[in-house]
Amino acid sequence: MKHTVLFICLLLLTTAALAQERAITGSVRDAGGNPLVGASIVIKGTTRGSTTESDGSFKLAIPDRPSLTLITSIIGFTTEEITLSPTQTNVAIVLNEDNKALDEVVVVGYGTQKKINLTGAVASIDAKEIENRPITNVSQALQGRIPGLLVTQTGGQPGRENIGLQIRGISSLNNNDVLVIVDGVAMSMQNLNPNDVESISVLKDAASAAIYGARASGGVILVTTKKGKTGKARITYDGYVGTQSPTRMPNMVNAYQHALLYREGELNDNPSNTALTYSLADIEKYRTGELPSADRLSFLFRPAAQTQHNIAISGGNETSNYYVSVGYLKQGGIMQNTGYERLNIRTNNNFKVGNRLDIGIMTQFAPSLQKAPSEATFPNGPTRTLNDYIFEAFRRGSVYPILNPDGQWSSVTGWANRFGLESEDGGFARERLNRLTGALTVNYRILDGLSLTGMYSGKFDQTRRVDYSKRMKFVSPVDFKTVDFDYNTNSLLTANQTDYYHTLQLLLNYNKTLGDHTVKLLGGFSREWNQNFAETVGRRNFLTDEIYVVDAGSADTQTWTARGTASEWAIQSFFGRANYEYKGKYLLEGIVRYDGSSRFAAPVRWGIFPSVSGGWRISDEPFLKSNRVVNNLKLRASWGQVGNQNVALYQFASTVSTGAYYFNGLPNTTAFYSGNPNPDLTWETKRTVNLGLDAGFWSNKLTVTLDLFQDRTRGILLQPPVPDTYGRGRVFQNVGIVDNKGWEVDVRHQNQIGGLRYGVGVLLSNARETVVDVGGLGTRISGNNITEVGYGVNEWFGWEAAGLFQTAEEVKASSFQNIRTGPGDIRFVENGGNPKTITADDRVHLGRQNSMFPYGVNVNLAWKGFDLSAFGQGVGYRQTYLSSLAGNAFQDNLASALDIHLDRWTPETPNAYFPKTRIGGINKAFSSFHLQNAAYFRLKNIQVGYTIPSQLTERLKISRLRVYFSGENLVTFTKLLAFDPEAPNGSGNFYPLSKVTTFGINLSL
Amino acid sequence: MALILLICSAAACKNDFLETLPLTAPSDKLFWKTDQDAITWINSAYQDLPGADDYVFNAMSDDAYTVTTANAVIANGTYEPTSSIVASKWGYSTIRQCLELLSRVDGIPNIDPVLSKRLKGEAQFIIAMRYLEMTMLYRDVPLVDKVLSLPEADIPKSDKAIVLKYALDQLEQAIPNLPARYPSAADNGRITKGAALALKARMLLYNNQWAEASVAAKAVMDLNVYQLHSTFNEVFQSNFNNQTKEVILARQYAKDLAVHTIQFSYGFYQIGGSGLSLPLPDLINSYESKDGLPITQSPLYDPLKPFDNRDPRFMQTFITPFETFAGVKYDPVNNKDAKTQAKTYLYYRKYIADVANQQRSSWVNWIIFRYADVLLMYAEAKNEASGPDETVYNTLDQIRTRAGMPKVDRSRYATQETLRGLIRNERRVEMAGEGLRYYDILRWKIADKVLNKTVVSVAIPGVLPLQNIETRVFKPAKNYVWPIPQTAIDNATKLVQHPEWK
Repeated sequence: MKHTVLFICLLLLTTAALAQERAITGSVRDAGGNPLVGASIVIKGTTRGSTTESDGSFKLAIPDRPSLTLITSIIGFTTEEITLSPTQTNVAIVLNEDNKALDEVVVVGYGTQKKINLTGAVASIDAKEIENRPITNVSQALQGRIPGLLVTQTGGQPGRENIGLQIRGISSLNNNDVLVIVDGVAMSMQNLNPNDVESISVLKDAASAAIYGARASGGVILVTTKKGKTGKARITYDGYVGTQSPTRMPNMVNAYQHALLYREGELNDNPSNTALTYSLADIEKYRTGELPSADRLSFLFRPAAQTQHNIAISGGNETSNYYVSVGYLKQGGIMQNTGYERLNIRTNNNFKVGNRLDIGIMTQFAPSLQKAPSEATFPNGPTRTLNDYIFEAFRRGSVYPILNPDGQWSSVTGWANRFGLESEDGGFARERLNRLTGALTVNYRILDGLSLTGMYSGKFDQTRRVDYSKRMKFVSPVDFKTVDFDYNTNSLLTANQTDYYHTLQLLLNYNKTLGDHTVKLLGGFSREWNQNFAETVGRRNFLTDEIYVVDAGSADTQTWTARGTASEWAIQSFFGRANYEYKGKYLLEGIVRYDGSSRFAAPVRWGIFPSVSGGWRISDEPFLKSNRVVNNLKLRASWGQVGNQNVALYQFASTVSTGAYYFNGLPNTTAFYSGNPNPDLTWETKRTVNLGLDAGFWSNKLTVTLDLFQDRTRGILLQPPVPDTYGRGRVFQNVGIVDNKGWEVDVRHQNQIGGLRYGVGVLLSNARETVVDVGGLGTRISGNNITEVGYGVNEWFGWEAAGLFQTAEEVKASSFQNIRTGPGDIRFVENGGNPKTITADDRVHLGRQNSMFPYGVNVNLAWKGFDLSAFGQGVGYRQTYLSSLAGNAFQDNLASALDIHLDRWTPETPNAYFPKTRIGGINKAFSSFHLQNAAYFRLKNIQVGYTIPSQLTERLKISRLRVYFSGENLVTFTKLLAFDPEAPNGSGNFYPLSKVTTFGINLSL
Repeated sequence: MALILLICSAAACKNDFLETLPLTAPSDKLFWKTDQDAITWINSAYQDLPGADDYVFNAMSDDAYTVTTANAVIANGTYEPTSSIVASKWGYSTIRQCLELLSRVDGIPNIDPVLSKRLKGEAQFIIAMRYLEMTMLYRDVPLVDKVLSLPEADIPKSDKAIVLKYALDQLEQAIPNLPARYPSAADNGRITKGAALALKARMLLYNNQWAEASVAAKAVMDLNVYQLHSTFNEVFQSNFNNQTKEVILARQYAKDLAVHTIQFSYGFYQIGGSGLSLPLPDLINSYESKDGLPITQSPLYDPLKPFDNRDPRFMQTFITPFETFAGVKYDPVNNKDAKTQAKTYLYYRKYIADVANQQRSSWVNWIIFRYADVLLMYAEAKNEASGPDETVYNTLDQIRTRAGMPKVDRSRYATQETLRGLIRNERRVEMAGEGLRYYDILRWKIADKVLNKTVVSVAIPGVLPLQNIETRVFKPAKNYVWPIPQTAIDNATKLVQHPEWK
């Protein structure tokens, strides 16, 4: 509110600043004398200005002041400032073409590269595209921003967002996760302050990623943090306050509808049933409100606040630069008893020592605290994971009260009420992650063009989780007196985990230009190792629920918990890169990397990953050099090979684990094989061919990037199903071949019409994989999924539904399905096997499971001090199966229904969407009926800002002050019923995503 | 500079940088070295013995009804190869665990030969147990008789007779090597000679090899280790875990540490139960009046007070309406929540009689074999093999006397046919709620009669109105065998579905 008042005051000030005036005319032309149309002329320090006409001329009324500066700008040309003399009435302005695009530099593996010289498929975004969005995890900033990168967020729990990154679709039958490198060190984007990010590069093809060899099969994301720039100290403050609320939530049926539908289902299952759960009298009581209806979703989920504050100080001179920032994020949870807080402190400093030595020091301390409900379970209590709590909200019907009228927690079917356990009355889990990262870089220039760089960096994660579960009583919702369930065991579990990750790197760089020939060479060595230790201790039966230290618990050692684990891994690599450039037109690059991983046994430990790529800058050829339309045109081609080592540790070793069986009431140790070893396991490799085109038109007013790729992955690290008769679990093997091909388009247009600058960008991509060889025993059916040669990975597999049966005759005339099948039930299509019965043989492919056609659209406008940006994102194809919640009403006898299930078959409503209501039962069997179109388009972010004119703010020594309003996830278009379209496949019980509306300011001193 | 040197030296040094070994679990290279290794190994296989989860078998038969839709499918005939319950008794991991022991145990240096034989006997028992359960339900199943490598593991089904012959052969080998008693109480719960003989009797009985079955059952009786416990109801209470001479083998549980939720399954709403097995009138009516006559003939039976004057086991097996159990009045008429769940109005009391304050966690052992079962098996097998004789009547008398019922009326049950009826009824009454009835109606081939009907509640005119519950369908051409679980077929290439289910 305070902010809004300030905003209005400043607006009023601008209009008050007008006084005496005079007129001025002028023209704007390029260096060749051609008129520039639509150039903007603004009086410095104000928002007043004019625009050039078709002949390049303009008119402008200016205040009668002794000194006054005009700022002239147009896209594709450098901006000019011209100071007018006191009497001047006419001005001729000449603008030079802007060559900045030529100097744009992109971060690539172990170095940087001029964007125009890239030969691989590399996309990047800079800080501007991220800033001021209320994102909590940097990965969220990438959604819809990079063609070929699919970002899926399948959970909204503060501090644990479940973000999936996938570059160029599925190329493996295994996971080949994206490798994320932050400032040269492999780590997740967790606990990284979005405000600290300078740029993000995405290496998509094998040629650009091969320098990261062994772990690059899923592509590489390089995050670079901000550094100080030469110049005076800059102090910035960025902050926002906002509210979150769930995006798209289903509606449960109310108690009356629940009872009515349940009765209908019971009668559908057994028409003669008289032992019905809800009598007509009870149903009437629900209708009139005499019996309560509990709105479970509104109870568990509610709006929550979110704020962030960030202060950064940066600057530098010839010998040093610095960047220091402090960020604080506080995110309330839209689910009760959850939340997140994080502090980020970062310093990035660089010094020159003499002429030859550079030293860089980066440190980050990022402590965070995640609040969540207790997850402690006891033999006589329900399971209590976060998903259990959410599932409870959707699954149990409104007929189960939550709180009794006197405020006590109601029992549910005489047992515990998970909502009570979820609440603060039930306990809490507090997880603190203290992340400390640091890097020391020493760069020594041995000769001109030859330098040696050494880097050590470490990441230390210390996690401490305290889970305390309190004693609770659950009271009968009937008499409000009887304690139906006494959850009489309280408990504490304290878990400490330490993770040490070290990287050592040594790089030798050599650059040389001889006439038209430029050569760049890189040789490197790196070594990474990781150690992880975790211990959990706990006790039960504390005297009070106010002390959260293990020693305060019961001395009965039988109830103690003491566990500990440890693991370690290491990677060692040698790599090299050579770049050759002739006349800046012909580009050639070769990379080789040699990796050894501790995950594989010694004889098969090492893998070699080469790549070559080339580029041709056609626009630098004489026949295009002076073309006025095409200002940039480059063809790229690459071939390369990368690896994947994504298997659990120690797959080469057979291990024995222990448990307990109780003889005569006392524990006896049990032993069994825990690992399913394969000592021959080695690298999975992916070969990629990429063709690309970069083009710029009309001084880069229009830019187009196109990429085509095709890859083949072999020796896939996979656990194919084993026959049950094997009697042991699945074994990791190098089996199977998957082909993957696709394309990416990125089109951007930016322009200026008078004072209005605007930009539009559209990006679209697709990737489609085909299984060439499955490995193992062949076609792999896993529940509702199938992987078969000639199809995609894990396609949907099940019965093909053909509407609903309408009459008993139809049922009789069709293949036998089930003894209960009747009118209103789903009809399956006969597809082979026994022609008279629907059996497993009738299951068929029902379509791809993997999403396709991710796209993004962004628009930004700037006019005078106002700016507006809107960014939308979606996927063009997704079929999902939300099994237990959205699929059918009453998945089982304890479940409830959503309001969408009211649209069900009855003799009176034969054209309804859902089949006849049943309790559990036959319509639950997975079929094409249950697949839903979850393609969507989402207005991901919209932001409206206003920058206060500097002539007003400079009086306050403020160089820039911008206020803005931002909305995240405000509008979503999808055909998916009830749930958010980003919901993961499965039961729909995930932590909902949030709509976030914020008000913020950006301030620079 | 020093840093660069450090890196250089690191690069040059040891080659074992990439050599990491599991830090938490020992490698199997260190295992199979001591006697204790082999003991811990077989301990693991005990976890797959039938346990309290087997309560679900009650409601597959005409004994009970369940509200759990996923489990009700067997009795109502709607199950499919994809039904979760169909996969519940399928699996080879325990068989492999046991076969590993058989192939490894003699390689342990200096192993005590007596111990080695005993451990092999335990393993062979568990293999036989698994195959008995699987052949009873799935009929023909793949026979895994050695540790298979992955390429060898894709095998087709074998005929039930071949699988059973293998299982019986394993038992024969085990019996002489297992002790009749373990010297230390700490081993209470381990497989004994008596358990192996009882399993042999069950295996033969279930496959109509009457004479052999009666011999095996007699062998258990002749061990003189077991006897009926003095009171029927104490056998099923946690205080008597491993304390009676009646129990031959039980799945072991322990307070707070290894518990199950039988009270949740059997109990009524107010004691935290969910009525997952509700006794049906068919079972209720099979209890004689205390005069030893069926209720259809006994003058003591009053349809208005149907729970009075019955076999004492009636009140020890069921919770009846309006009685106070564990301090709570069970009222299915006036208490709305109790009414909703109590479709048949009765609940099982057996196994939960002493759980008043245990809420949802119980640690009463689940009995796999008890002496009463052996006596009943003997009576049935002997009667089928050679008709009524005094040994048959005597075993039945022992059971009835312990229960507080009159001895068998010799004249009333003088023929093989009439005695068969009594034995089957006695078995149903004595073993109610122990998960055995479903196997009995399959092997007696009466399932198509007893499962083809609409199940209803108990009724007392004017007090408990009759409720129709569910229509059950049993197709004899199909439902006498369970389908092979679809996942098992999907995971293999040589395993094919039974013709009935194709």
